[in-house]
Amino acid sequence: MEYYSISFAGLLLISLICFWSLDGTYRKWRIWILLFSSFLFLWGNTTAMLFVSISGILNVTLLRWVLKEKSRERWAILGVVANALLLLLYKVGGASWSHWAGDWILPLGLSFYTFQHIASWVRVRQEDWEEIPGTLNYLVYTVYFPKMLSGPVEKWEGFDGQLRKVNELKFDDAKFIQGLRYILWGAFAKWTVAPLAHAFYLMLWTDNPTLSGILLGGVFNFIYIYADFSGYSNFVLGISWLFGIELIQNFKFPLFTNQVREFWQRWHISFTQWILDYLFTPLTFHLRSFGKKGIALAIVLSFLVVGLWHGLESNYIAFGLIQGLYFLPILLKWNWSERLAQAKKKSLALDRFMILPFFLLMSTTALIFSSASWNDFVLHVEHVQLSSFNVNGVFSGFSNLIFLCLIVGFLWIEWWNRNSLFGLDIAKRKFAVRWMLYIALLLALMTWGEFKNVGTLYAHF
Amino acid sequence: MRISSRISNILKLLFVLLFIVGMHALSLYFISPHNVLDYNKCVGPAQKNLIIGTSRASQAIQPQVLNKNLDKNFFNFAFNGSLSKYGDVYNQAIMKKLDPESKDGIFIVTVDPWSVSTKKGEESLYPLAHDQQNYLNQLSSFTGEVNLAFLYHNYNYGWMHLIWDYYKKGSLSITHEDGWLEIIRDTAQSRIDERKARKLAAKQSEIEQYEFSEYRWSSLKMLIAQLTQKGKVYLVRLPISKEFYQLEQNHFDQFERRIKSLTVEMNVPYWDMVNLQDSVKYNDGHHINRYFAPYISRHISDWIVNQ
Repeated sequence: MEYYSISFAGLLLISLICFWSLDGTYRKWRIWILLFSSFLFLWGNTTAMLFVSISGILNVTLLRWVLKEKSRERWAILGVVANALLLLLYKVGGASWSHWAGDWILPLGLSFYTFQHIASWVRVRQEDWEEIPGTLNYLVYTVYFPKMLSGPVEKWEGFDGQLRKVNELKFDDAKFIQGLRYILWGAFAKWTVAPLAHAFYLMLWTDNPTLSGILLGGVFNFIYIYADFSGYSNFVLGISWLFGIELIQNFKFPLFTNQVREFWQRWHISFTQWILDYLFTPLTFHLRSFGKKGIALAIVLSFLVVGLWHGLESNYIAFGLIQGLYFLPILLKWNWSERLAQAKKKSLALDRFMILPFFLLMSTTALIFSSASWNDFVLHVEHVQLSSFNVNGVFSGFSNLIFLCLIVGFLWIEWWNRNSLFGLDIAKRKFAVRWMLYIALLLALMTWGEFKNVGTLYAHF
Repeated sequence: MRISSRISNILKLLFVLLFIVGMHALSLYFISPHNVLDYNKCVGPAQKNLIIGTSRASQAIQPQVLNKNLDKNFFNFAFNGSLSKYGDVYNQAIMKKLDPESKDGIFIVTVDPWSVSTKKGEESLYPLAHDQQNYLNQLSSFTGEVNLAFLYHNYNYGWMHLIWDYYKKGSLSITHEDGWLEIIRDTAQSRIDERKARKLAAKQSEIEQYEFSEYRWSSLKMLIAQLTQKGKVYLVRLPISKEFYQLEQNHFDQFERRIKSLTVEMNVPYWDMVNLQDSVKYNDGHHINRYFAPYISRHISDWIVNQ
């Protein structure tokens, strides 16, 4: 089911009415409403529905059984391997798999779904389960429809804690309105800013091997990736807030950072946290005897996996590897890096200014991510005429000027609210400011929003 | 009396909803032939005389010329190769557009090898996924004052984009109220040659992936049989430039033989307009230039009169 569809709007409305109208002892059915809505979300996609049902029930049944056993390690490894193998098969199988099975898996971000199962089995091995999970809660945890497509990858405890209190939830106007703000901001980013930024990227990068192609094309591509994914994340967070359930804030203004560690603490947070908990920390444990070099190796390997997670293509591997290498100056305390860090501490102006070169660095790296392959990227760069700064008239004309203003406006609002939860977290602003923004965003969304033929970039991963 | 906070919030929410619905409703007044491709084909009254086919027909046959010469009201219900190759979906759309009372209509059914072909291997996966996803399959009606389902399924943008496009000049495609699609292109010979070379290269690589489709062929026959009950059917193969014609003849070498046997079998007149291919100009070698649409339409109407 697409988010921009009458069927989704209908599903959401009916689910919300049913969810909030239950009273007294009937509130125990709320959890069933969440589960039922999640399966309805996959309506028309029988294979995906079957896959989710079978894999979910198998995982929770085995998990509950294993947690009652004394010898758990082998089962834990089997659980991790079985789930990881499924993911790997899908990644390796790629096109041929989808040719065989059709595009059935597309409505489901398989990685995001599988990561939750893998985390559960890793925690069995780490003996980290305090109590045996309830079947119903665990099923809702894995299939909860707002996060089914592309996360966020929730942690069990936090989510289960909320599900346990779902019967006690009372309708909270402020929370509901905050949910609507999330939805509006997410929709504006995903359906207005992202397609516009992508169009600028294509105009600047494709068939334009000049310096502007790399710099400006990279900038717009980076904005596109950010607006698309953070927009999606905020949108689904908003949907979940309408039910009174809070999901992890997946992005915390990562474009306004000036160093790589902070960037990854703010970008795709739930996934980075997952990598930190279940990959980087165990790796560090094993490599700690090598000192800083061991930690550096753990970081590079972790980011290599981050790259591989996107796909087995060479551009993703290169992207992950480069991101890992960006940590080395900080970790190994290279002189220039240390001096720069000190200088930034002393001068706010420099601290702010350094956002720009870091932004350019990350946006250029993102070009690798967006290329068809590493070779494709290299081939393009080889033809670049560094002396030429031809923008092909991309910024001329009234329409393009408006589009540019929308993108700049989006970034400006994000900067303006950078100390809040998200760009449109404006509950405490003046009434007139709030409503001016609501109306402006709605008008922009209804006028320039592009809703068809626009997938979610991260739904492929 | 002090309005409680809850009621105030409900009123604000209602205001937002009304604002959204109101702006959408307002946007509908700005639909014009210029800003939504093919929309005019999916609204208006039910029709008695239709022009059927793909983009070649959509651009080349001008109903107003036929109307004059044949004293009928024609409607161009041809779309493009992606939407209106012969098959269940297009046939059903035609039947929905057709006036159920129609008895003595004229139906100009344009044919070419592309309109009865599928991608290799696609036919075994019936029903064709490509046709099923086609928006013609999602519309329950092709008549009426407005077609909200068309906008919902087919319009890529928020509906207020209609207002933006209405005031933005420079639309390169106009779907007229009679269904004729007017495409505005630079007519300088050098630009035509450039477009033709690009189109030819694309078609040369594309054609290798296509094969004759028994399914589409039988759908065409079924359509002719259905339309024959509503009036007279005329089969036409529109002119294209030599290189494209040769490409089609080489790849679909049985097409002419099949179409000729079909005309005998179903007793319908057929005209391959190849003899006019040098008399007209094209946008890209494959689609006739808008200035030559009246010329082609006049020839078709003369041919129909002489049958």
